[in-house]
Formats: sequence, C-alpha cells, structure tokens
Amino acid sequence: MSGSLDVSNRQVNGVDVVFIRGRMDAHSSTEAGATINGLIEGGSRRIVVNLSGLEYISSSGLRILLSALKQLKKEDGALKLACLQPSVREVFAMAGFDRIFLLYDDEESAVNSFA
Amino acid sequence: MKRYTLQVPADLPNLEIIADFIASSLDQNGIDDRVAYDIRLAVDEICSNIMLYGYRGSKGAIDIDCTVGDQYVQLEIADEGVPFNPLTLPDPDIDADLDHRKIGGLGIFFVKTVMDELEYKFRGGRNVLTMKKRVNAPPSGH
Repeated sequence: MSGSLDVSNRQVNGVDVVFIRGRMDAHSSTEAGATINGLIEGGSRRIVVNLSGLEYISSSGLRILLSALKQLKKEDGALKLACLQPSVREVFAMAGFDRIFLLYDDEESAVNSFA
Repeated sequence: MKRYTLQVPADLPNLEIIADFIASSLDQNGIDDRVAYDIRLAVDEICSNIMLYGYRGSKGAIDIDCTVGDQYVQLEIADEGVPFNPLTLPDPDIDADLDHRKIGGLGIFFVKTVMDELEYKFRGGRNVLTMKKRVNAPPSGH
C-alpha cells in the first residue's frame, strides 16, 4: 500500500513478533495497524513489536500502537515494544508513552518477558 | 537565506513527498539531524491534519514554504480547507494512565512542543500556519 513502510511478522516461543521498518505516518501506519489487529483478531495475545527498523513515527503511528495495547489489555494480553531508535524514543517520551508501554532494548528480552 | 516551496494535493500518500522535501531542504543547509527531525514531525502532523480533516473528502492542495535562515527555519503551511486554528486545541493529558489515555490532540501538542513560535491566520479564505524553529540555540527542553 505504501512504499515507505514494511511490516512482517513471525512467531517465537508462542509470541508474535511484528517487525516494522520505515516510517509510520498517517498514511503508512494503517498497514502496520492491519497486521497487528489481524493477529489480535486471530487470537494472538502476546505480541512484541520490533521497531529497530523504524526511523520515524508521528502521532498517527502512536495511535495505532495505543489502540492495539488497549485492545490486548481488554483480552488479558500484552503488547511490548523492542529496539526503539533514539529519535522514535524521543517521540514516545514527548507523548508520555514511555510510561504506558513496556519498552525493551532488544527483542529477545521482550519475548522472554512473556515466559 | 534560502527559500523552498512545494505544492501537493492534500492526499495522505503525499506525506512521504512532503517529508522528503523538508529533509532535503534542511539537509542542503546543514541543519542538525535532531532539529530536522523535529521540523519534519511538526510539518507531518499539520499536513496529516489538513489531509484527514481539513478538506473533509473534497479535493484541495497544501502549500508549503520553507525558509532557512541563519537563526531560524520558518515554515508556512497553507490550505483552503475548513477554517481551523490548531493553536486553540487543548493539550492532551500526557500523564493519564492507559485506561484514561486519549490520543486526540497529540499531533498538535507535538507541534507546540518542538517548534519555538507558532502563528495562525485565516487570510483570503486560507488557513495559514507559520512555525519557526531556532537553529543555533541549545536544544529545546523536551
């Protein structure tokens, strides 16, 4: 749909890991949202989003992640984020999202935190 | 002082064209990456708002005027959508917990946070937002 964002996902030890690369703006974020919502609708309750390839996020990207987090909490699941680049982490901090999301420095720690 | 202009249809896929335009205008003038990121964020948030809400489904354009001076980068963003003064929007409660967290208003809050000066005018049937960011000052406090 958009050339500026790639989304893929795989399973590691029963945890769905979503990899988002590129930029999450008001256009491209919808693709990432569709993937995450698809997983939740398919029954996934343990999701890690690896953001190591994400170079830019706007409030639209945050909206997608917040909505997934709220949805999973309702279903007794959890969404955790790994590998935020410094510029993306600053946007999280500006929004106060660093206090409502669990952030991990690497994907393995995020996945293992579900064990 | 250098000036760069861009006019694009107010369609969401054009956000990437706008981001590239801002990045290259700032890069050509050696603007620091961190400052450039803040400016890209502010322009992206304003243009997203215009695309999503300003034209309410009708076709229209966004005009962006980027002036890079010694002390300031100034952006003027104009559209002919419904009159909307983003400076009147209340700030979101960024300390709210997850259950009480609302996403509305976050984009404009980012704009107010990262830019140093904002001015809104409704002029000749157009919304015109002028934003300034200091480029030779210490980083702003966020």
